[in-house]
Amino acid sequence: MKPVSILGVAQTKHCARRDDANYMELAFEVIQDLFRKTGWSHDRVDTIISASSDFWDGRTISEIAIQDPAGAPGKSASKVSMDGAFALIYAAARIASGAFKTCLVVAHGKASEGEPRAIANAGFDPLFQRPIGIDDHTALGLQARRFLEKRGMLGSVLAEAAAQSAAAAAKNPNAHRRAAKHVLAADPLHEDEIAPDSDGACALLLGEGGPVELAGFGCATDAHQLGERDLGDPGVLPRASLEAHRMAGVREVDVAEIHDASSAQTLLWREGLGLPERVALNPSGGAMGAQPGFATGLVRVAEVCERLARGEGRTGLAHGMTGFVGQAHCVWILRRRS
Amino acid sequence: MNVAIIGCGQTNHRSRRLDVSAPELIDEAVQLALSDARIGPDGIDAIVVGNMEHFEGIHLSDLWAVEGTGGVGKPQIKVATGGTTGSSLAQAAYYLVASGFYRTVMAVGWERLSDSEGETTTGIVTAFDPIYERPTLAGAVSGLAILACQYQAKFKTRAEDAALVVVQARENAARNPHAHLTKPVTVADVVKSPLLSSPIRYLDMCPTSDGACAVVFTSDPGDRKSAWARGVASRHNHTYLGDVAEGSADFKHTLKLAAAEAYRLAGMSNPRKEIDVVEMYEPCTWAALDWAEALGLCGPGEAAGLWASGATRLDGDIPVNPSGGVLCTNPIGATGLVRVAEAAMQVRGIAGARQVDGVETAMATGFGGSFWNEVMILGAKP
Amino acid sequence: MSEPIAVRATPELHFRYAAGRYGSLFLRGLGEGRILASRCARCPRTLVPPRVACTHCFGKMEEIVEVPPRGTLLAFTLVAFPFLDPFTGVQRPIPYCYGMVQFEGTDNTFQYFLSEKDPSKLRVGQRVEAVFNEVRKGELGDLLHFRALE
Repeated sequence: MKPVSILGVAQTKHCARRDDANYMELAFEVIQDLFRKTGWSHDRVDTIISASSDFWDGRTISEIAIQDPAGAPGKSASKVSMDGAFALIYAAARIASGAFKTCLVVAHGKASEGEPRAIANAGFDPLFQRPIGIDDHTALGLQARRFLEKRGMLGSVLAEAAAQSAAAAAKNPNAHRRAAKHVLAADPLHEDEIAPDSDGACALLLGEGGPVELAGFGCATDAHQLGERDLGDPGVLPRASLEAHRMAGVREVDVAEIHDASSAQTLLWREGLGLPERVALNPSGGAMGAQPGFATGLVRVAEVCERLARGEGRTGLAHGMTGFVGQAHCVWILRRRS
Repeated sequence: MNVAIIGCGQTNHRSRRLDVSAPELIDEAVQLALSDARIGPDGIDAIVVGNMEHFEGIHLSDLWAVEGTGGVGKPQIKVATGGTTGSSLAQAAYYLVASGFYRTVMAVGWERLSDSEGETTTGIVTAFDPIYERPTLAGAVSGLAILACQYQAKFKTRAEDAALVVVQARENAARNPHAHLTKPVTVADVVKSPLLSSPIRYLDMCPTSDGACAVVFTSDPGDRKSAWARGVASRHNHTYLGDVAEGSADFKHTLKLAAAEAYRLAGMSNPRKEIDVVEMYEPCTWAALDWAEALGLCGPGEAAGLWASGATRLDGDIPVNPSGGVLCTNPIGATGLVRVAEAAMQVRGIAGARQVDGVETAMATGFGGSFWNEVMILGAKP
Repeated sequence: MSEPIAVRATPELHFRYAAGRYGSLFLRGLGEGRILASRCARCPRTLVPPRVACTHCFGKMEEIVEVPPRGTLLAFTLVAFPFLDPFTGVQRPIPYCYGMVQFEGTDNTFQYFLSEKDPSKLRVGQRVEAVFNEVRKGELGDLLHFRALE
C-alpha cells in the first residue's frame, strides 16, 4: 500500500462514568489533546472518519454529536459503524486514494449512558437467539467454556491471564480503575475475567511523514450464529492476521495490543495471531484494562504507535473487533520509520 | 486509480416484504448485482454494508446480515450515516478501490422500514440532541418543513409549484419496476392530501419502503459496460439543527459545496449542459426545488419554473429522477445507493423504460444527518 | 406457501444522557429564568445552547454570557401527524408549533415550541419572546414556549 503514517495519537483517561462530558465534550477533549501533542489544527485536516455505535449512544446517526468538535462542517466526513480499527481502514484508504492528504480519525464510546447487556442482546438474531436472553457476557462465557474444554485447561488459566492484564493496566495512567471481584459472572468467567464497560475516546491523525507508518492490515468476518462457529477456535482471526502480515511484509512483531473482551480471549486471540512468547502482549493492559465501546480497537493502535515512536520495538500489531466473541476481526501492522 | 461501476442490483421496493428475512432481502439485490457484473462471489474482495440500526431495532445489523451479503470470510465494513448511508457506501467503496486496497468492492445497503411498525419518525428524532432538539423535532418531516418554510418565505413559491415535483416523479416511477409508489397523482391530489408538518403534506413527502440495493465497484472492469466515477465529494454540517442555517448558510449550503467540488474533480464548467441526467436525493418536493438550485440546474427561485417547463421530465433537457426518485421509493439505508445505481444504469444504457437517450454523464446525490450532502458524478469514460 | 410469520420485539432500552458541562449550565440557567449562551471571542460567535466547540473555528468557547429572552422567528412549522415520542414511548400530543428563533445578540437559532397553533398567523421575521414556567426545575421544560411580540 501507499505509505500512510500516523502523525499523532491521543486518548482520554477511561473510566466507568463521565457525567461531566457529553459526546461533543468527550470528542472535543480528545481531539484538542491530539492537536496539542502534534501542533496541528483543524485547518490542516482534510477529512474526518469517525467510529461510534448508534445503539450505545442511544442516538441514530450518532456521529452528529461530534461534527463540530471534529471540525467536520464544510469538509468531507464519514462514519464507520464498527470499532475504530475498522474505521482506520477507510481513513487510510481516503489518503492512499490520493484524494486527501490528512485524515482525523476519532472514536468514542460511553457505556455509562446506556445498558450494555440489553444493547448486546439486541445484537443477536432477533428470531432465534434474542429470546433466550443471551448477551455479550453470556456469549463470552460460552466461548471461555468451549476454549477450556477443547484445550483441556482449568479455569485457573483465566484467572492468571486476568491477573497479568490487571498488573499491566495498573501501570497505565489511562486505564479504567475498577474494583472487579473474583465472583462468578458468566460461567466459567468471573467478573474480573471480563473486560470492563468504560467511557472514553481516542483520536489519531493520519498523513504523510509521521514517525510510525501503517504497514499492512487484514480483516475478515465470520458467521453470525454462534452455533456456526467453533467458539473454542480463533475463527477468522488467523485469516485477518496473515493478510496483515503479508501486506506489511512482516513476519514477526515486537509488541502487540489486542481487544480481549475476556481473559479467555487474551489467550485465544494470542493463539490466533500466532504470537510467540517473546512478543509483549497488551503492555497497556489491553481491553481488559479499558473497553470504551468502538474506541477500544483504536486505542490499541494508539498504544502500539506510541510505543514504537518511543523506540520500544520496530514493528507492532494492533487488533480490533466488532460483534460477539470475535465475529469480525481487524489486524493492523505498524512499523517505525527508520 | 480509476474506479468503475460494473454491476447494480436492487429489489422491487415495497411497503412491506414479509416474505423474506433481512438477509434474504439483501441476497436478492446481491445476486442481481453479481449477475449484472458477470462475476461470482469470489470476485468480490471486500464488502461495505449500510443500514440504520434503530429502524429495525437490530444492533450490529451488518453482522446479522452477513449471510445475505456473502461476507463470511471476507472483509466487511459497515458505514451508516443516516439518509446518506447509501451514498456514503458508494463513496466508501470508491475510496477502498481507488486506494488500491481492494480490486473489487461491493456496496450493499438495505432497510426494512416496515419492521419499525410505522415509527420511522421516532427513530429519526433520536438523531438530534437528546436534551435540546428531540422534544420539538418530528423527524425528517418537520426538519424539512423548516427548510420548506424558509424557501417559501424567500421565493413566495406556491404549494402547487412544489406539488409538480411529485406529479412528475410518479410519472417516471410508473416506468420503473423497482419503484414503490407508481400510482399517478395530480397537483390537486397533493395540495388536498393530509397536512403532516406545514407546509409539507402527505404527498409532498417520501414513503417508507422495504428494499435493498447492491453496487459493484472495480478498478479492473475489463470489457464490461462501465460507469466511471469522475467526481466524488461530500460536505458535512453542524451538530445542532439550530446552527445549520447560521450566518450566510442555508439548508442547501453543503450540497452547493459538495456539487462544486464534484464538478471541479470532473472538470466541469457548465454542469447544466454537461450533465445528462440527475438522480437527486429529494426526500420532499420542496427540497427538490431548493436543491436543484444548489446543483446549479437553475438560478435561485427558478426551480418551480424549471419543473413547470418540462425540462426535468424524462425527455427534457435536464431529466431529474427518471427512476421516480426518493419521493416514490425510500428504503433508507439503500436510498442513496439506489441513486448511484440508477445513475450508473443510465450511463451504462441499461435503464430500460426509464432510460434517457444518449447519457454520457450522470449525477447522483445523497442527503442526510444534519443537512449534509454527498455527490457522485459518473461518466461513460474514466 | 402458508402465511409468513413476523415476530414482534419491543426491546426496552433505557438511556441517561449526560448534559455535560455546558448543558448543565444552560439547564440551571433556565431554572433561574435566564437564557445562557457561549461566546467565542475570536470568531466572534455567540451561540445558544452553549457548547464547548465553536461552530466557526471549532475551538473552545470560553465565555458564558446571558442573552435577552427575545429574538426573531426565522422558520416555523405546525406538526400535525401522529408519531411515538422516543422519550415517552407514547404518541406525542399534536398539533403543535415549533420554530427556529435567533435570540438577540446571537448568531444561530434555537429550536423550540411556539404558543401560536395557527401557522397562518406566523411569519418569518416576526419578533418573539421566551415565556418561562412559574415553577422551574432546571430542565428544558422550564422554558414554556415562545410568544409573538407583534
